[in-house]
Amino acid sequence: MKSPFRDQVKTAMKLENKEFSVQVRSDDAKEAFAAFLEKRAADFAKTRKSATAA
Amino acid sequence: MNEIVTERSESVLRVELNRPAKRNAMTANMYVTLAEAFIEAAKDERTRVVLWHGAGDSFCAGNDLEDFLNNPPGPGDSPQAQLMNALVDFDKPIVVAVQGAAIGGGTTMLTHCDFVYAGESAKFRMPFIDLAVVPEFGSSCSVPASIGHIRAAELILLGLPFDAKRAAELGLVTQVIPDQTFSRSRPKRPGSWRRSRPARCKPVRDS
Repeated sequence: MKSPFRDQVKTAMKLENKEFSVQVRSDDAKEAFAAFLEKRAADFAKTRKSATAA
Repeated sequence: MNEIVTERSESVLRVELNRPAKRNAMTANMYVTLAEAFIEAAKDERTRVVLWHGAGDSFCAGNDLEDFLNNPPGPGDSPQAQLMNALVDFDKPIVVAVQGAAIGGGTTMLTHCDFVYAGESAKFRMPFIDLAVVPEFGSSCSVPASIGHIRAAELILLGLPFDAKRAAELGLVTQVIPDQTFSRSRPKRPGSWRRSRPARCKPVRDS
């Protein structure tokens, strides 16, 4: 029941983990996590501005 | 206090996420300990089935954000990856009882289990898009494989919350149990799990 998907799931996990490890360190993620912890809406315009300025 | 509690009764290994004050949000240490519990259970011939549940009001609220932000996972053998691999490789039936919140990893981990019994007030969500990260636990594959791309897109790309009834309609939950009769440590058919024969289950689950 699982073998047809196991390799696909493992491949997906590797891709996800690689991408996740980059994204979690991004300005967007930092803003999203800060907003979540501060119980407010995320302001991605702020991160876009800083990316443009850089 | 142990944040992952394991207890074997005859052939059933009970695994409890035991951090109820934080809705069983997972720390790096919990991921590693849980991975070790599954790896050990896979080797232990006395264990035929794992019964997994959370202490308190929730199953699992996903990552503990404070711990997570202090130790964000890298692309390699992170604590999260250790649990992912242990779960995907586990070759015995996993029965899960879900009550309250099952958020992020609390939902995606369920897609690697065999029987998911949910209390009727259980709430599910995969909010990765709102946190500006991609899904994890292989859910970009396991969720569409389970419920189809169109339905998965709504849950993953929009991060919409859904309840136990909807989860059962989608095929992410085996059965919804009324809250009054829901028992997280004895969800359903305990006799059947105890009688399960590894020699019969393994090749079927593994095939």
